[in-house]
Amino acid sequence: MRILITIFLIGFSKVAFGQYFDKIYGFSLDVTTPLSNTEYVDNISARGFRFMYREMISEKFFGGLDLTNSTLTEYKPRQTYTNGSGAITTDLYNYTYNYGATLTFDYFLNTEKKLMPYAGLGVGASFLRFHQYYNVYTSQADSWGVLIRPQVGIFYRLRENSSWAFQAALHYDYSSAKSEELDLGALSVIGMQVGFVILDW
Amino acid sequence: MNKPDRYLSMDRVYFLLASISLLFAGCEPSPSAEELNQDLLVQTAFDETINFKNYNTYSIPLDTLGLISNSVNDTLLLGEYSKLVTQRLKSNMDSRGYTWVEKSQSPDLGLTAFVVNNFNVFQTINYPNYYGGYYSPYYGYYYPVVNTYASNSGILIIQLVDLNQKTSQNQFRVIWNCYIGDIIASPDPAGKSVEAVDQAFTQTSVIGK
Repeated sequence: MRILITIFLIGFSKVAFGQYFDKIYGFSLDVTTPLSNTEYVDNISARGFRFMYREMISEKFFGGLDLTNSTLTEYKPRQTYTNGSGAITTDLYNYTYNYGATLTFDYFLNTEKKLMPYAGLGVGASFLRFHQYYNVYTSQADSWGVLIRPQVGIFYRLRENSSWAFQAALHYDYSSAKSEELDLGALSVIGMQVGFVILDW
Repeated sequence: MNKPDRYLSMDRVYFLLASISLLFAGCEPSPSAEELNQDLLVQTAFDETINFKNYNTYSIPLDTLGLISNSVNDTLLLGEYSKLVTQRLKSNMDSRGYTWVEKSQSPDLGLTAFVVNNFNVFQTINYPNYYGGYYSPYYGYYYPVVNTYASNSGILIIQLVDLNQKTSQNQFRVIWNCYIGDIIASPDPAGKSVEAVDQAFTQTSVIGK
Protein backbone atom coordinates (compact mmCIF):
# COMPACT_ATOMS: atom_id res chain seq x y z
CA MET A 1 0.00 0.00 0.00
CA ARG A 2 2.82 2.34 0.91
CA ILE A 3 4.44 1.57 -2.45
CA LEU A 4 1.21 2.33 -4.32
CA ILE A 5 0.84 5.66 -2.52
CA THR A 6 4.43 6.52 -3.35
CA ILE A 7 3.94 5.67 -7.03
CA PHE A 8 0.74 7.73 -7.07
CA LEU A 9 2.43 10.74 -5.50
CA ILE A 10 5.36 10.57 -7.91
CA GLY A 11 2.99 10.30 -10.86
CA PHE A 12 0.82 13.13 -9.60
CA SER A 13 3.76 15.38 -9.03
CA LYS A 14 4.97 14.83 -12.62
CA VAL A 15 1.55 15.64 -14.07
CA ALA A 16 1.16 18.68 -11.83
CA PHE A 17 4.61 20.08 -12.54
CA GLY A 18 4.93 18.74 -16.08
CA GLN A 19 5.02 22.25 -17.60
CA TYR A 20 8.15 23.22 -15.67
CA PHE A 21 11.54 22.85 -17.23
CA ASP A 22 15.11 23.02 -16.03
CA LYS A 23 17.00 22.99 -19.33
CA ILE A 24 16.60 25.01 -22.49
CA TYR A 25 18.07 24.30 -25.92
CA GLY A 26 17.48 26.85 -28.61
CA PHE A 27 18.33 27.79 -32.14
CA SER A 28 17.54 31.11 -33.74
CA LEU A 29 18.31 33.18 -36.76
CA ASP A 30 19.92 36.50 -35.96
CA VAL A 31 19.36 39.70 -37.93
CA THR A 32 21.95 42.31 -37.00
CA THR A 33 23.05 45.78 -37.96
CA PRO A 34 26.26 47.51 -36.87
CA LEU A 35 26.27 50.68 -34.78
CA SER A 36 30.02 51.28 -35.08
CA ASN A 37 32.60 50.95 -37.87
CA THR A 38 29.77 51.91 -40.19
CA GLU A 39 32.20 53.32 -42.74
CA TYR A 40 33.37 49.72 -43.17
CA VAL A 41 30.01 47.93 -43.05
CA ASP A 42 26.67 49.66 -42.59
CA ASN A 43 24.17 47.08 -43.82
CA ILE A 44 21.57 44.98 -42.05
CA SER A 45 22.55 41.33 -42.22
CA ALA A 46 20.34 38.27 -41.91
CA ARG A 47 23.35 35.96 -41.98
CA GLY A 48 23.43 35.13 -38.31
CA PHE A 49 22.70 32.21 -36.02
CA ARG A 50 22.61 31.55 -32.32
CA PHE A 51 22.71 28.31 -30.43
CA MET A 52 21.73 28.54 -26.76
CA TYR A 53 21.82 26.22 -23.80
CA ARG A 54 20.49 27.05 -20.33
CA GLU A 55 20.16 25.26 -17.04
CA MET A 56 17.87 26.30 -14.24
CA ILE A 57 19.58 27.99 -11.30
CA SER A 58 16.34 28.91 -9.52
CA GLU A 59 12.73 28.82 -10.64
CA LYS A 60 13.01 31.97 -12.79
CA PHE A 61 16.73 32.27 -13.18
CA PHE A 62 18.65 30.33 -15.81
CA GLY A 63 22.30 30.31 -16.83
CA GLY A 64 24.19 28.76 -19.69
CA LEU A 65 26.03 29.19 -22.94
CA ASP A 66 25.38 31.11 -26.15
CA LEU A 67 27.31 30.38 -29.34
CA THR A 68 26.76 32.94 -32.07
CA ASN A 69 27.88 33.60 -35.58
CA SER A 70 26.99 36.44 -37.89
CA THR A 71 28.40 37.92 -41.05
CA LEU A 72 28.18 41.62 -41.82
CA THR A 73 28.77 42.58 -45.44
CA GLU A 74 28.88 45.66 -47.59
CA TYR A 75 29.77 46.29 -51.20
CA LYS A 76 31.72 49.48 -51.90
CA PRO A 77 31.42 50.39 -55.58
CA ARG A 78 34.54 50.95 -57.63
CA GLN A 79 36.40 54.11 -56.66
CA THR A 80 39.93 55.48 -56.44
CA TYR A 81 41.74 55.65 -53.11
CA THR A 82 44.82 57.87 -53.01
CA ASN A 83 47.72 57.89 -50.61
CA GLY A 84 50.46 60.40 -51.39
CA SER A 85 51.86 59.53 -54.82
CA GLY A 86 50.03 56.22 -54.88
CA ALA A 87 46.49 55.41 -55.94
CA ILE A 88 44.40 52.29 -56.21
CA THR A 89 41.12 51.84 -58.03
CA THR A 90 38.91 48.93 -57.15
CA ASP A 91 35.57 47.91 -55.78
CA LEU A 92 35.55 46.40 -52.30
CA TYR A 93 33.59 43.67 -50.60
CA ASN A 94 33.90 44.36 -46.87
CA TYR A 95 33.07 41.39 -44.66
CA THR A 96 33.09 40.98 -40.89
CA TYR A 97 32.79 37.40 -39.65
CA ASN A 98 31.62 37.61 -36.08
CA TYR A 99 31.91 34.68 -33.65
CA GLY A 100 30.85 34.84 -30.03
CA ALA A 101 30.74 32.57 -27.01
CA THR A 102 29.14 33.93 -23.87
CA LEU A 103 28.19 32.76 -20.44
CA THR A 104 24.63 34.05 -20.26
CA PHE A 105 22.12 34.46 -17.45
CA ASP A 106 18.42 35.07 -18.07
CA TYR A 107 15.69 36.07 -15.63
CA PHE A 108 12.16 34.98 -16.61
CA LEU A 109 9.08 36.81 -15.37
CA ASN A 110 7.35 33.44 -15.30
CA THR A 111 8.16 29.92 -16.43
CA GLU A 112 4.72 28.31 -16.49
CA LYS A 113 2.59 30.41 -18.84
CA LYS A 114 2.36 30.40 -22.61
CA LEU A 115 4.14 33.74 -22.83
CA MET A 116 7.40 33.94 -20.90
CA PRO A 117 9.25 37.27 -21.11
CA TYR A 118 12.85 37.36 -20.00
CA ALA A 119 15.87 39.64 -19.75
CA GLY A 120 19.46 38.54 -19.66
CA LEU A 121 23.11 39.39 -19.86
CA GLY A 122 25.91 37.48 -21.57
CA VAL A 123 29.64 37.99 -21.08
CA GLY A 124 32.29 36.11 -22.98
CA ALA A 125 34.73 36.09 -25.85
CA SER A 126 34.43 37.56 -29.31
CA PHE A 127 36.45 36.63 -32.37
CA LEU A 128 36.17 38.93 -35.36
CA ARG A 129 37.60 38.25 -38.80
CA PHE A 130 37.70 41.31 -41.04
CA HIS A 131 38.05 40.38 -44.70
CA GLN A 132 38.28 42.90 -47.47
CA TYR A 133 37.89 41.24 -50.88
CA TYR A 134 38.96 43.08 -54.05
CA ASN A 135 39.35 41.26 -57.34
CA VAL A 136 41.35 38.09 -56.56
CA TYR A 137 43.06 39.72 -53.59
CA THR A 138 42.13 39.82 -49.90
CA SER A 139 43.18 41.94 -46.94
CA GLN A 140 42.51 40.20 -43.68
CA ALA A 141 42.74 40.92 -39.97
CA ASP A 142 41.69 38.72 -37.06
CA SER A 143 41.00 40.00 -33.58
CA TRP A 144 39.91 38.67 -30.20
CA GLY A 145 38.01 40.69 -27.63
CA VAL A 146 35.53 40.70 -24.78
CA LEU A 147 31.89 40.35 -25.72
CA ILE A 148 29.07 41.83 -23.63
CA ARG A 149 25.49 41.14 -24.67
CA PRO A 150 22.41 42.45 -22.82
CA GLN A 151 19.18 41.03 -24.22
CA VAL A 152 15.41 40.90 -23.73
CA GLY A 153 13.04 38.42 -25.27
CA ILE A 154 10.04 36.16 -25.05
CA PHE A 155 9.27 32.47 -25.28
CA TYR A 156 5.82 31.68 -26.60
CA ARG A 157 4.31 28.21 -26.23
CA LEU A 158 1.23 27.17 -28.19
CA ARG A 159 0.13 25.14 -25.13
CA GLU A 160 1.13 25.73 -21.54
CA ASN A 161 2.58 22.23 -21.19
CA SER A 162 4.35 22.22 -24.54
CA SER A 163 8.03 21.39 -24.54
CA TRP A 164 8.55 23.61 -27.59
CA ALA A 165 8.32 27.36 -27.76
CA PHE A 166 8.92 30.08 -30.26
CA GLN A 167 11.50 32.62 -29.29
CA ALA A 168 12.05 36.27 -30.22
CA ALA A 169 14.72 38.47 -28.68
CA LEU A 170 16.43 41.82 -29.08
CA HIS A 171 20.08 42.11 -28.18
CA TYR A 172 22.90 44.59 -28.14
CA ASP A 173 26.46 43.30 -28.60
CA TYR A 174 29.61 45.12 -27.67
CA SER A 175 32.87 43.52 -28.76
CA SER A 176 36.21 45.04 -27.82
CA ALA A 177 37.89 43.30 -30.79
CA LYS A 178 39.55 45.84 -33.10
CA SER A 179 41.74 46.00 -36.19
CA GLU A 180 44.58 48.47 -36.40
CA GLU A 181 45.43 47.28 -39.93
CA LEU A 182 42.01 48.28 -41.23
CA ASP A 183 41.62 51.17 -38.76
CA LEU A 184 38.52 49.66 -37.15
CA GLY A 185 37.52 50.20 -33.55
CA ALA A 186 35.39 48.18 -31.15
CA LEU A 187 32.30 46.71 -32.79
CA SER A 188 28.81 47.19 -31.45
CA VAL A 189 25.70 45.81 -33.11
CA ILE A 190 22.01 45.48 -32.36
CA GLY A 191 20.09 42.46 -33.47
CA MET A 192 16.86 40.55 -33.43
CA GLN A 193 16.69 36.80 -33.01
CA VAL A 194 13.81 34.62 -34.09
CA GLY A 195 13.79 30.90 -33.51
CA PHE A 196 12.57 28.11 -31.31
CA VAL A 197 13.57 26.44 -28.08
CA ILE A 198 13.18 23.03 -26.51
CA LEU A 199 12.16 23.17 -22.87
CA ASP A 200 13.57 20.12 -21.21
CA TRP A 201 13.29 18.65 -17.73
CA MET B 1 5.18 8.29 -16.82
CA ASN B 2 5.54 10.13 -20.14
CA LYS B 3 6.02 13.83 -20.01
CA PRO B 4 3.66 15.92 -22.17
CA ASP B 5 4.99 16.65 -25.67
CA ARG B 6 8.24 15.12 -24.66
CA TYR B 7 10.43 14.28 -27.65
CA LEU B 8 12.63 11.30 -27.86
CA SER B 9 16.17 11.91 -26.75
CA MET B 10 17.52 11.07 -30.22
CA ASP B 11 15.37 13.84 -31.68
CA ARG B 12 17.02 16.21 -29.27
CA VAL B 13 20.43 15.02 -30.36
CA TYR B 14 19.50 15.48 -34.02
CA PHE B 15 18.24 18.95 -33.22
CA LEU B 16 21.51 19.88 -31.56
CA LEU B 17 23.58 18.43 -34.39
CA ALA B 18 21.47 20.20 -37.01
CA SER B 19 21.76 23.49 -35.13
CA ILE B 20 25.50 23.30 -34.79
CA SER B 21 25.90 22.18 -38.42
CA LEU B 22 23.83 25.13 -39.62
CA LEU B 23 25.78 27.43 -37.35
CA PHE B 24 29.10 26.49 -38.82
CA ALA B 25 27.98 25.78 -42.39
CA GLY B 26 27.07 29.40 -42.89
CA CYS B 27 30.01 30.80 -41.00
CA GLU B 28 32.07 32.49 -43.65
CA PRO B 29 30.27 33.25 -46.88
CA SER B 30 32.34 35.18 -49.40
CA PRO B 31 31.63 37.03 -52.64
CA SER B 32 31.51 34.94 -55.81
CA ALA B 33 34.31 34.97 -58.37
CA GLU B 34 31.88 36.49 -60.86
CA GLU B 35 31.25 39.42 -58.54
CA LEU B 36 34.91 39.90 -57.72
CA ASN B 37 36.24 39.79 -61.27
CA GLN B 38 33.89 42.28 -62.88
CA ASP B 39 36.60 44.95 -63.05
CA LEU B 40 40.37 44.91 -62.81
CA LEU B 41 42.26 46.42 -59.93
CA VAL B 42 44.46 49.36 -60.94
CA GLN B 43 47.31 50.40 -58.68
CA THR B 44 49.72 53.21 -59.55
CA ALA B 45 52.60 55.08 -57.92
CA PHE B 46 54.78 57.85 -59.28
CA ASP B 47 58.10 59.37 -58.25
CA GLU B 48 57.26 62.61 -56.45
CA THR B 49 60.68 64.12 -57.21
CA ILE B 50 60.05 64.06 -60.94
CA ASN B 51 58.59 66.88 -63.00
CA PHE B 52 56.84 65.05 -65.83
CA LYS B 53 56.59 68.25 -67.84
CA ASN B 54 60.32 68.08 -68.51
CA TYR B 55 59.99 65.20 -70.99
CA ASN B 56 59.04 65.45 -74.63
CA THR B 57 59.36 62.10 -76.36
CA TYR B 58 58.72 58.48 -75.50
CA SER B 59 58.92 55.07 -77.10
CA ILE B 60 56.97 51.83 -76.77
CA PRO B 61 56.77 48.74 -79.02
CA LEU B 62 53.30 48.89 -80.56
CA ASP B 63 52.42 45.21 -80.88
CA THR B 64 54.36 43.37 -78.19
CA LEU B 65 54.21 42.90 -74.45
CA GLY B 66 56.87 41.32 -72.30
CA LEU B 67 56.02 38.04 -70.60
CA ILE B 68 57.33 36.63 -67.36
CA SER B 69 55.80 33.24 -66.67
CA ASN B 70 56.53 30.13 -64.72
CA SER B 71 54.40 28.01 -67.06
CA VAL B 72 55.84 28.91 -70.50
CA ASN B 73 59.33 29.79 -71.72
CA ASP B 74 58.28 32.63 -74.04
CA THR B 75 59.41 36.11 -73.05
CA LEU B 76 57.21 38.00 -75.47
CA LEU B 77 53.46 38.12 -75.73
CA LEU B 78 52.14 38.84 -79.21
CA GLY B 79 48.65 38.98 -80.65
CA GLU B 80 45.51 41.02 -80.36
CA TYR B 81 45.75 41.57 -76.62
CA SER B 82 49.24 43.06 -76.91
CA LYS B 83 48.19 45.33 -79.77
CA LEU B 84 45.15 46.63 -77.92
CA VAL B 85 47.09 47.37 -74.74
CA THR B 86 50.10 49.01 -76.37
CA GLN B 87 47.95 51.10 -78.70
CA ARG B 88 45.94 52.28 -75.71
CA LEU B 89 49.10 53.19 -73.85
CA LYS B 90 50.25 55.18 -76.86
CA SER B 91 46.95 57.04 -77.20
CA ASN B 92 47.07 58.01 -73.52
CA MET B 93 50.66 59.23 -73.75
CA ASP B 94 49.83 61.15 -76.94
CA SER B 95 46.86 62.79 -75.26
CA ARG B 96 49.13 63.94 -72.43
CA GLY B 97 51.29 65.84 -74.92
CA TYR B 98 54.21 63.46 -75.42
CA THR B 99 55.51 62.47 -78.85
CA TRP B 100 56.08 58.86 -79.81
CA VAL B 101 59.41 58.17 -81.50
CA GLU B 102 61.31 55.07 -82.51
CA LYS B 103 63.60 53.59 -79.92
CA SER B 104 66.57 54.49 -82.11
CA GLN B 105 65.62 58.20 -81.94
CA SER B 106 66.76 58.60 -78.31
CA PRO B 107 63.41 59.10 -76.57
CA ASP B 108 63.25 60.79 -73.15
CA LEU B 109 60.92 58.19 -71.74
CA GLY B 110 60.58 54.45 -72.19
CA LEU B 111 57.18 52.88 -71.64
CA THR B 112 57.39 49.16 -70.93
CA ALA B 113 54.51 46.80 -70.42
CA PHE B 114 54.68 43.15 -69.51
CA VAL B 115 52.49 40.39 -68.17
CA VAL B 116 53.54 38.38 -65.15
CA ASN B 117 51.80 35.03 -65.21
CA ASN B 118 52.11 32.83 -62.19
CA PHE B 119 50.71 29.31 -62.40
CA ASN B 120 50.85 27.09 -59.35
CA VAL B 121 49.59 23.65 -58.49
CA PHE B 122 49.09 22.67 -54.87
CA GLN B 123 48.47 19.21 -53.54
CA THR B 124 47.30 18.15 -50.14
CA ILE B 125 47.21 14.60 -48.87
CA ASN B 126 44.67 13.48 -46.30
CA TYR B 127 44.81 10.19 -44.46
CA PRO B 128 41.33 9.14 -43.35
CA ASN B 129 41.16 7.46 -39.97
CA TYR B 130 44.75 8.26 -39.26
CA TYR B 131 44.88 9.01 -35.57
CA GLY B 132 47.85 10.12 -33.57
CA GLY B 133 50.41 8.47 -35.80
CA TYR B 134 48.78 5.03 -35.82
CA TYR B 135 46.48 3.32 -38.26
CA SER B 136 43.42 1.99 -36.56
CA PRO B 137 43.68 -1.83 -36.76
CA TYR B 138 39.94 -2.20 -36.39
CA TYR B 139 39.09 -0.27 -39.55
CA GLY B 140 42.04 -1.50 -41.52
CA TYR B 141 44.20 0.49 -43.89
CA TYR B 142 42.84 3.48 -45.77
CA TYR B 143 44.45 4.90 -48.88
CA PRO B 144 45.31 8.58 -48.64
CA VAL B 145 43.11 11.06 -50.50
CA VAL B 146 45.02 13.51 -52.71
CA ASN B 147 43.40 16.84 -53.49
CA THR B 148 44.84 19.01 -56.24
CA TYR B 149 44.28 22.76 -56.45
CA ALA B 150 45.42 25.00 -59.27
CA SER B 151 45.88 28.72 -59.08
CA ASN B 152 46.60 30.95 -62.02
CA SER B 153 47.04 34.67 -61.82
CA GLY B 154 48.19 37.34 -64.21
CA ILE B 155 49.21 40.93 -63.70
CA LEU B 156 49.82 43.54 -66.37
CA ILE B 157 52.69 45.74 -65.23
CA ILE B 158 53.41 49.06 -66.88
CA GLN B 159 56.50 51.12 -66.12
CA LEU B 160 57.59 54.53 -67.28
CA VAL B 161 61.37 54.91 -67.16
CA ASP B 162 63.54 57.99 -67.52
CA LEU B 163 65.91 57.16 -70.36
CA ASN B 164 67.97 60.28 -69.67
CA GLN B 165 69.07 58.94 -66.29
CA LYS B 166 71.18 55.82 -66.53
CA THR B 167 73.14 54.32 -63.68
CA SER B 168 76.63 52.90 -64.00
CA GLN B 169 75.05 49.41 -64.07
CA ASN B 170 73.09 50.43 -67.16
CA GLN B 171 69.82 50.69 -65.23
CA PHE B 172 67.18 53.31 -65.78
CA ARG B 173 65.12 55.11 -63.20
CA VAL B 174 61.49 54.00 -62.98
CA ILE B 175 59.34 57.11 -62.48
CA TRP B 176 55.89 55.52 -62.71
CA ASN B 177 54.61 52.05 -61.90
CA CYS B 178 51.25 50.53 -62.66
CA TYR B 179 49.84 47.13 -61.69
CA ILE B 180 46.65 45.86 -63.30
CA GLY B 181 45.13 42.57 -62.21
CA ASP B 182 43.92 39.97 -62.32
CA ILE B 183 43.80 39.59 -66.09
CA ILE B 184 43.57 35.79 -66.03
CA ALA B 185 40.41 35.68 -63.92
CA SER B 186 38.73 38.49 -65.87
CA PRO B 187 35.84 37.43 -68.14
CA ASP B 188 37.01 40.08 -70.67
CA PRO B 189 40.78 40.47 -70.30
CA ALA B 190 41.29 42.65 -73.39
CA GLY B 191 38.37 45.01 -72.91
CA LYS B 192 38.94 45.37 -69.18
CA SER B 193 42.69 45.87 -69.63
CA VAL B 194 42.07 48.73 -72.05
CA GLU B 195 39.69 50.31 -69.53
CA ALA B 196 42.27 49.78 -66.79
CA VAL B 197 45.01 51.46 -68.83
CA ASP B 198 42.77 54.52 -69.20
CA GLN B 199 42.09 54.43 -65.46
CA ALA B 200 45.81 54.23 -64.70
CA PHE B 201 46.38 57.52 -66.51
CA THR B 202 43.23 59.06 -65.04
CA GLN B 203 44.47 58.47 -61.50
CA THR B 204 47.95 59.81 -62.34
CA SER B 205 47.20 63.33 -63.42
CA VAL B 206 50.84 64.44 -63.00
CA ILE B 207 51.82 62.64 -66.20
CA GLY B 208 51.65 65.22 -68.98
CA LYS B 209 53.27 68.17 -70.58
